Amino acid sequence: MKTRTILSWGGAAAFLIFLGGPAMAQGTPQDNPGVWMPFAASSYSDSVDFLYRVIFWVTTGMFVLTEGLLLLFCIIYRRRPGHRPTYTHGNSTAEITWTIIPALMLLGLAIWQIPAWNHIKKQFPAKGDVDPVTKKPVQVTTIDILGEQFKWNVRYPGSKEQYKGEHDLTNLSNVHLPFGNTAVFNLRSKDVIHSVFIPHMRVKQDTVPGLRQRLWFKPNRFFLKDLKAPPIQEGNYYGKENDEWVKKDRMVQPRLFVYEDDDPAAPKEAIAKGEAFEAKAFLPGGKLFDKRIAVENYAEINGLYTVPVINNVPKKVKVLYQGKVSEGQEFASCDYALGIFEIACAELCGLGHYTMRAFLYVDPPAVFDAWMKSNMEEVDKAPVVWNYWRN
Amino acid sequence: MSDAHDSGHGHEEMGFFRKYLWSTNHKTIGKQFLVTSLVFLFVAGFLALSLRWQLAFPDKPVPIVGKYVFSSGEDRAEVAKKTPLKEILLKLVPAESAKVETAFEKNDTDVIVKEVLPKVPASTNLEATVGKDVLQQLVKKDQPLPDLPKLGGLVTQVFAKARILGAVKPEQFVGLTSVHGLLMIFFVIIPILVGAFGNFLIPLHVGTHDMAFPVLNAASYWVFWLACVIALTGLLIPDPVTGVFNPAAAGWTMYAPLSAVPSTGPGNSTGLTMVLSAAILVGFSSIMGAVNYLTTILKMRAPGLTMWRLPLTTWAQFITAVLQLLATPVLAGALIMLTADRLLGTSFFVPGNLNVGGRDVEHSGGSVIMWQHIFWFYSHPAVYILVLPAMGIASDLLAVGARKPIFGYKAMVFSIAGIAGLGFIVWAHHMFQSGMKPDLGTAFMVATMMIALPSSIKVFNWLGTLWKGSIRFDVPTLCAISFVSMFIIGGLSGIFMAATPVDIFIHDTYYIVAHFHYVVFGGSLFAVFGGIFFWFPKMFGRMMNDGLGKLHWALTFIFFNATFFPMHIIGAGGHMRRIASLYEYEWLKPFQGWNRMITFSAICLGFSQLVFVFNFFWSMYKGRKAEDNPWQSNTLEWTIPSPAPEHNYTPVPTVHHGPYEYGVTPEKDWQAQTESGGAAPAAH
Repeated sequence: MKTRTILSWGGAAAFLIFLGGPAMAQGTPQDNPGVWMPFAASSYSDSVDFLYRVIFWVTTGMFVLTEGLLLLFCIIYRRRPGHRPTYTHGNSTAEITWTIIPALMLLGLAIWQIPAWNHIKKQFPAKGDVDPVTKKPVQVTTIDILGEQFKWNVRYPGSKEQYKGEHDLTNLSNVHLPFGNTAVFNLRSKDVIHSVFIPHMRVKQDTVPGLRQRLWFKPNRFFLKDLKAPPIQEGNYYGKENDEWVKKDRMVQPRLFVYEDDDPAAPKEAIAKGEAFEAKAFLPGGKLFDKRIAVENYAEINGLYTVPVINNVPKKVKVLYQGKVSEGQEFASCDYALGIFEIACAELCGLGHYTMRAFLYVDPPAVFDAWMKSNMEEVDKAPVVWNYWRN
Repeated sequence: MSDAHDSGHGHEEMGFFRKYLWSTNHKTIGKQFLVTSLVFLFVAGFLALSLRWQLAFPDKPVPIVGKYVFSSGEDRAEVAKKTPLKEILLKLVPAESAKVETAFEKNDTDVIVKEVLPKVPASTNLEATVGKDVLQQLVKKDQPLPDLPKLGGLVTQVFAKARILGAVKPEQFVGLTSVHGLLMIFFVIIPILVGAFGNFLIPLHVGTHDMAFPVLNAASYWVFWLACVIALTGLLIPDPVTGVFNPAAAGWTMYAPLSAVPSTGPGNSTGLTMVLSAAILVGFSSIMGAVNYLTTILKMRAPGLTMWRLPLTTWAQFITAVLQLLATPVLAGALIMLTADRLLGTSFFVPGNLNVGGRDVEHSGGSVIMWQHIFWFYSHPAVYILVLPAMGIASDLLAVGARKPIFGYKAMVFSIAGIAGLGFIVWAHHMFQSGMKPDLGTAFMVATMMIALPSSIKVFNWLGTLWKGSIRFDVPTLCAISFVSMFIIGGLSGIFMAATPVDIFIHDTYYIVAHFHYVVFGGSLFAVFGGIFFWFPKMFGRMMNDGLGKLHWALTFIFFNATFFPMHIIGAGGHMRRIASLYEYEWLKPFQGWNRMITFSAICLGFSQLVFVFNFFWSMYKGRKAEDNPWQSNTLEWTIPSPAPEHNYTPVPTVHHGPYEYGVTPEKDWQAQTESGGAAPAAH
């Protein structure tokens, strides 16, 4: 077989695999904004994603240029009768050009991103800071996190806002945050290096034994979606007997429905009575989880009506909640959870490394306060387990 | 016993032992490195396929080899209880025997527990109905015999074990990833590129008869061989706690305290210690080799062969040897300190107040981050050791293939030196998220961005080499071209990681895995395949089969991209590294399809390598006999017969110009370095 034939077929096959790959996969993430990363839900996640997209397009441009030239040269400069190679050892002008231009591009990229890095890693919220968007003073929720093989231990300041042992909420595995506050995590580890990775917030920080680390972020967005996992198809994964195994690990999340105030499809009677209801499609344009709505800048949260800004346009919506939170808490039918995110461990920490999941709940402030209060009584009874918190 | 006169005379008959095993001839040593490393390529490849299986089909038994490698004696004993269990059930509920049979075949717990067992009357006396001896086989000697409700629980336990018998357990998974990385880096790529190609080619390229220190050379191989034996032992030795295959399980990066405190996990005990010792020995072998290479290149060049007339392969080996000499001692230090922490109770890397699994750890006073700094101070130059020789080889293969001089020879040399030099000041880009001061991160970020520059200069020069050439698509040329294209992708994805805010997200995800596999597999390993094909005639006197070579190239290229490109996608989605299964996380579950595609492609990739193995060994005996210069290449080794005679050059050659005088005249488009005259200037 001629070499050219091999090359063409090989190249075509490779190209098709790139294209056909997505078809062979089970599906892209539901809340995927289009460049593979999950939904961005914190105040600085936009800058991270923007930087990613800039680098993506720059490198794609370089990719197309270089690989395109490579492929082109392979075709037009292939050996054929009567075609002589051009003898040359190089060209200084070319060398200088393609040294200086990439150098400037790289340096530019490097210097341009420094403020973003500093903002994320250095600019912790301080007393007296004012949130530039809401123009109110920044509220900070400080939480201690202790990584352990293989779970996350979470501790909140008690009612006196200081860690006093008996009055702390400790031995929890999940983090609750009030929406509108900035979270500061104090990170510690009691055995090996773990890493707090909250993908939707673009947060990652190793927890190193012997060191105290800090990280901060401000959730400013939630996504309205049906958080239930995609439907199981029979025999999809690896046999019917294992479908149960797969099913039982699914978390059944509260459903959030958003509809405009005058949407005729809204089940008004059920809402008026505060009853549970089943609904297929609420929003114009299709199923709930196909539409990602960024709800930012809550002006007023009073449980029923809000004036969120959706895609830069203020909208009057009702947000309803149906179902139970997996921790067994039930909210009244017109309260809502703002977002449930996952915390993963991103640094190999042993055999249970893949199981270190915790949840991050971003709650409306009223809900958060109620939760804190009800849990405080529990904590008063529970002893503090380790002395690590005191170190 | 070793005779210092031997290497000078060469007319005495050497026994098998001196000729093939304890040989001080650089060519034999090079071939020894090559074969040993290729064996490890397949061992490490098998580990990778096993872990890919687990990722695609979590807790499903690995086919064919699973039950031998991944099951413990305890698991097997549990599963052996299936037979008495079946007997019991058949006796208790004879009416449902068909159901019982199918349920046992399919490991269906539900049918037994929900449909069969309830049919047994509650008042049944198990002992009387079934027999005490049969019941005894279900429990240990000192436990009471089961009653009916307990039987259901036993069914579940036995079936659970049966379902996962031969599957990769989570602790084994971590061992698989770690050892795969360690073997590939220290026992495959470094020995092939530096040990095999360096040893074989350097004396040939500089026009001398052997290395400067032949006995040291042989010692460097045999220390490496000892390291291989120890590493394989560490791989095969069952973990003392669980009794199963469970080697080093702290990642190839062996971060403390996971690696320093053995109680942090099964698999962090004997296996890890053995792999550490093996790595230290590989370091010694590298340092010995580096001394040899530097001396040979600097002191033993043929007359007329100035440094600026060396082929780029040799320049790359030279600079890589400098890297090895400067960086490997740091690794040796780190590994020795880590071994001391594990075995002698020191606390270099173990801070105080640790509590592992409820027990306090006795060490105190160490620094966890210090391990990362010392380790990465070596390991970052190490990745350039992995790629620079391959760049040199690819440059030469491209020049030969395009029948044109390499574009910008001096710029290429300075780029190699630039990569090596800058490689020493970027190590902490592996540690951006470890908790170091952000400003320190910024400094390393700038240096890391700049190291992309010499690499991109090289890429443009390779393109310039192909430009207006007359490209001959032999297997070595195909390999070199695919080296360039894969290296471009790997290099560009590196820019994402260099950007610290983006690194926050993609650190410790599959994005990183995709990046380094593109540069090391897509880059170095393709150059290795090309180099083996190219220099095979000089090594063994025969040509490798061309058709098989092209088939192997095409299959590897296609399946390599199908395996590793999707890792960019799942990595950008947040799929972490080294997790045994992504099902714990909701946001990752949609990526499982990609995992399956990657595994399928990886299996095809693994099997495609069998074509290469067949070609390699078959051609050694049945390949077409090779002439002196089958590729019409300029470098010195092609002026002597194939295979290369024992003392290489008789008499010592005189060099008149650089190695890239291709396409000078229309009549003959190449000009060996030993030929004088022609249109080429003496030096460029």
